[in-house]
Amino acid sequence: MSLEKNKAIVRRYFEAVDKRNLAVTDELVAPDYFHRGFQVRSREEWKQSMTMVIKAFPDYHETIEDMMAEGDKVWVRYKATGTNTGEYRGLAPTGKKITYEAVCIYRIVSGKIVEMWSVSDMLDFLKQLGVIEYTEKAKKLFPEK
Amino acid sequence: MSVEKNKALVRRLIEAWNTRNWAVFDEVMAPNCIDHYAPPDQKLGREGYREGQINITNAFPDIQFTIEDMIAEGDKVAVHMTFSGTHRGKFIGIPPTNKRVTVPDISIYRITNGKIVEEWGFSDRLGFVLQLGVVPPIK
Repeated sequence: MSLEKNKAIVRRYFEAVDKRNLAVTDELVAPDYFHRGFQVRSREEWKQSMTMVIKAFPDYHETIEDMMAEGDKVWVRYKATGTNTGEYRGLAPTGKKITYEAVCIYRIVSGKIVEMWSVSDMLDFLKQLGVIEYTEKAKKLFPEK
Repeated sequence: MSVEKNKALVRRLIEAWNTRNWAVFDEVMAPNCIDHYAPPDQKLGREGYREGQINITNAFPDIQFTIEDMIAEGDKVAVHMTFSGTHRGKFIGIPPTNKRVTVPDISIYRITNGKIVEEWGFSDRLGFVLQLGVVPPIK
């Protein structure tokens, strides 16, 4: 699988999420796909969790900021935004616009994403949602972006 | 600069952290290197970056960075690392907890003329504060 083909698969995957066309991901994601960070263990589980995110943030959008490929992996630095107008995991909507950035690593085998690792700042995400409140000291150390 | 040379440069930086060889930062980083997402009280450039690393090491004296995976393309190198250490010194206002933390991190470096000029660092800060016990577990 060439690096350019692998990058194209990952771009198509981001586009599918953006167009809310999760069915297209059947072509792009293996059924037994495993997300190591969030312990999502199948394509179906992934679709369910993405559906929950889109319900909570109907304008959820991911922008690819940077992409690198080598071997069977593609690494993406992306920015996600969305307005919390729907319930999220039992939390009432806050109406807040959330922004967070992360890096995801995709492993691709035979043209499909089979595995993913990601590192993201969930602390900032939860703070923006109002789940975590910072002390005065913390506000100085981690100012609002 | 070849991708292999760039990878070797980043490995040298990580080895310098692990061996506390702070002088190596002068060789591998440009003086005005940009550290995206640096804490607001960190000085600009290489000096600020090095101080930040020294502060973390003072708080976690046994901290070690393990490279899990690395990729390079063009002028960039990205590293997926795990850092582990025991919280023995005050860190960002948190008194020592003596807890051991293990946190994943992905850092991306841009290299020009044999030196790191830009860095984007992502770490699991939530996991970090949860392991330190300073945030109650989230249900």
